[in-house]
Amino acid sequence: MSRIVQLRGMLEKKQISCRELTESYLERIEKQNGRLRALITITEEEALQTADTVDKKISKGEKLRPLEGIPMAVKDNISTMGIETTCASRMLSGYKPIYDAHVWQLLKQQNAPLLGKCNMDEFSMGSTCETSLIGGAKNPHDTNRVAGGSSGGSASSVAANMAAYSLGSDTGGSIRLPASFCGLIGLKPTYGSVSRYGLFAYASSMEQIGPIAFSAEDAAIVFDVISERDTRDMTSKGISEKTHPQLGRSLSGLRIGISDEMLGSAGDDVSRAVREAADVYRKLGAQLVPVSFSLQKYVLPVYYILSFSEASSNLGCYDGIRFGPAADKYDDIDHMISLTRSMNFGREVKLRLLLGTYILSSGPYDVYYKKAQNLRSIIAKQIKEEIFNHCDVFLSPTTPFTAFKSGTNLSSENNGDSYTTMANLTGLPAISLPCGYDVDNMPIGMQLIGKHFCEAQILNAAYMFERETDGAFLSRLETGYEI
Amino acid sequence: MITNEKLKEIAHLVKLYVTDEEIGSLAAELREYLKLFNTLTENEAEDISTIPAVPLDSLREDTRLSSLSPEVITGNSKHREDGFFAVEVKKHE
Repeated sequence: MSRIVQLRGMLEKKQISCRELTESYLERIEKQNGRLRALITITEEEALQTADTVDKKISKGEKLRPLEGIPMAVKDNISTMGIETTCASRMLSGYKPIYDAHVWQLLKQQNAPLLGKCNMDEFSMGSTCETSLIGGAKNPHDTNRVAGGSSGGSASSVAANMAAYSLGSDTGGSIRLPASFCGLIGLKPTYGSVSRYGLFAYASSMEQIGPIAFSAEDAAIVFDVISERDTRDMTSKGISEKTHPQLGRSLSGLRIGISDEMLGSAGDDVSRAVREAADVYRKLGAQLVPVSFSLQKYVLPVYYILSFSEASSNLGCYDGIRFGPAADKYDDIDHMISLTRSMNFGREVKLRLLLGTYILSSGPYDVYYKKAQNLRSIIAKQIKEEIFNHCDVFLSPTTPFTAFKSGTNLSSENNGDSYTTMANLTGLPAISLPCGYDVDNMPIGMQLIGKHFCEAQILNAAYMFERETDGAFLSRLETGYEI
Repeated sequence: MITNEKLKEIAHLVKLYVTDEEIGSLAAELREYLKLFNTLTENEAEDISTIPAVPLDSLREDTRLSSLSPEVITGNSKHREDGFFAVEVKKHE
């Protein structure tokens, strides 16, 4: 079921050249991107140049590396030297990074043809992709609905077969939520598995770069390439063992925790699909263990308080001096910076910066920030005691609902992040995989959270589910290109 | 309670200008978030020291590496002069 393995096989057997393959992706981008807004920048020249390099290697009979020649796309908050990187914000309009993110360096070494930079919520702030400067990416399953966020373009492009796989980033669910809405696999690695060097920071203590892919095997192949230790990110540890060779291991004896409270709080279709998925795991020999997490109601407010606080500091660097469009008429430097920030940041970013700054000011600091930091530690401790002391992986819905209509107003308490943020606060790895469809035929996603650096375990659980269900829930959109 | 005046004060701290049209809706939304944040005050857990999510065992010795040239670093800025960032002090015309 791996799209990457299939395409690499076609390249190696010379059934298609890398240039032809890349051109077929570019054609689909040309046809669909205007409608889907999945890519902010299209990098045709870059992609074709790389494709030609790969074709030369193939003609010499050289063996291809795992991602060599497989056309892909990268979220627009990952630095790509010389290629405009905007974070979907007016603030970075025209900005061309002067260095590569570590993950992009690793993909470049593999000769991965870059098709473009993916649409996203402005500076990753949102869960629908609609705070993007250019408007949100649309969901290819129903273009009246959101693709999810913040990595909406990364998911939309893969679901519409405009890229074989993509990279997103996840601060509170930004890979898993759009993957779930678009019927794809999304992996948020353990904090420290993947280097954040070159990632535009939103909340540094929570975010990770990870793959959005068609299948679990594809996600494992991409993760194995990007999870190399990098000394430029002091929290980067890398992984000790590749995950791809570990796929296919028996799930017999695997303890899967499942929370009735969490399932009960999701929509009926979502809850039913996840319960049915749990039954599939039981058939595969896993043991279902009822668990309950007593601090769930604090997870979302703690996440907001800490992420907004970190954002108010991280986004201080956008002053119009070093990059981006700046105000032309001003009285002094403070005036210039304030004018530049006011005209270039969108409303959601302003809101989060105001809240973060308020939280860090004297008084609210003790009431909110200090309390939230303390609770973050307690939540991590309790998750271990109440969940992972009893099971190996924790199963839940990815979101309480499926993709909704564009323009829907969500409350701060119910914006789709309620099950995903737990993994960001604690640094645990988490994967979203498709497990059903709702009454409107929109994909439903379930989430598996694992122990630190146990990506292989959750990827294998996802892989075995796909295999057992014969890929029944993997995205089956008509893309005009069947392989 | 965040009043409109308080909001202007915060906006000054974070170097943003908020217009009179924006201020009402922003303040209302901030108050909604604060209502959610106030659930934290229900928790009376004792203060414990912060536990890092991942053990910090990946520290390394400092090593000197080559860095980018000032010309490259200032290349994206329109405020640059001789490899420095230079903001001209201007008045409104």
